[in-house]
Amino acid sequence: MWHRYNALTYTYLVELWPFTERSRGIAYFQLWGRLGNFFTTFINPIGLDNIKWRWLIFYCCWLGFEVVFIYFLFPETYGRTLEELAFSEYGLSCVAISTNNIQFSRTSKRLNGLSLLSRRLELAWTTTRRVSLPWLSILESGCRPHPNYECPNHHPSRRTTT
Amino acid sequence: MLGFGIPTCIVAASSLIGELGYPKERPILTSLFNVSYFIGELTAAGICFGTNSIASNWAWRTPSILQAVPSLVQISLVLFLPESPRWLISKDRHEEAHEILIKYHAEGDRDSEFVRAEMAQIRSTIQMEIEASKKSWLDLFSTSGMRRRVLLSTALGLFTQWSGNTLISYYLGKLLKMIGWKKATDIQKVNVGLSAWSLITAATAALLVTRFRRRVMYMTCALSLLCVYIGWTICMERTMTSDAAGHINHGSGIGVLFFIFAYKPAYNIG
Repeated sequence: MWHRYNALTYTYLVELWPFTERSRGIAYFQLWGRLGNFFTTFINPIGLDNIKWRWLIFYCCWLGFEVVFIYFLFPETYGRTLEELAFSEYGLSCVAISTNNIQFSRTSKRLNGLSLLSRRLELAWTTTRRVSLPWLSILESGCRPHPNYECPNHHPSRRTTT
Repeated sequence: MLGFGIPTCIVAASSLIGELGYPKERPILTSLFNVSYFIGELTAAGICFGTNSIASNWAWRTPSILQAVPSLVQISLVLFLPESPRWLISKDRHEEAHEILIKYHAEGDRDSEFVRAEMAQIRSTIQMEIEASKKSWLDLFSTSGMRRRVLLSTALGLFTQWSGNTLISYYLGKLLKMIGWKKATDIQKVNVGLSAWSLITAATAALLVTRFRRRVMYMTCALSLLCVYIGWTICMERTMTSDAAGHINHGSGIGVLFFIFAYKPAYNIG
């Protein structure tokens, strides 16, 4: 049997990874899932046989760690398109919408850290239940990187211009 | 050997569903993808339950042969699947991608503003992504954003398997024996009950993903798992201590069973 966290796992992974790295990212997740599964399958009977019910205390502690990890490190990905997500956490730049043009604003170091990950981008498409079309047409008419668009970290020499 | 193909299928299928789905429904679709596992699990359990009673070698041959059926269905239907519009765009096949989006996101409306805007957004994003990508596994570690994703994927991989779920899925029989349930048919009944219960709770959770934020759902999941495990540990201790003292504690035994069932919805939220 191959159980995993259920409702969110792949929803979250698809949102977490941008297009170019998506399959690699999910494959990498699979690797750790399989390793974790392999490991517990062998450890569980040893624990149950030797320390009986006390083996469950190990999981209580681990679940406590999960709570802390999720609280501090899991980013919010709710209510954005895959493209918006690609930029918000790509470490490239973040997409912000101005009145009549889309602009790729500069990334600050802060944006790569915690604050970016939990930060809500002020886009019209904030909730999946209320898709509003006007900003999409704006996007279509003027989808160019802003002149101040900062290059990716690992291409310091390249500057994108409009 | 049997397990070789599955990760490939999972990676490709989850990406395709996510990239093809209509934005509003995408989270529900990718969530239901994982939930459908339980349909397979229940079917398999039912088939094995039925073939158990066959006296000859066909008791194990029948389920083994039937395992080929889902793969055959997949092989024959995969040719009819639409391609991911994002993949097509990454290969500069914009026209085809546009057609797919018109068909699946706009009900065939060729003038759909929504689809044109989607095209623009996908094109500009993928173009910039490809420019930044070196198309190698090292990309995963190239920027701090990427390393962050690697850390999160590692954590997700471990969390999905180390949250105590393997204890229930592989060692349910052992656990039930520890609290005094020794009959094999009872254990089988609990097992089937758990599968059906998982299907119901996971499907419900999948339909709720558009209503709650991801962090809210993950925190609810981890916190309720922690509560369930603490309750379960206490009931387990009570049962086994009184068992060792020579009398049976029915109350805490039922408590253990309750927490095993309560574990499923908690786990399935995340």
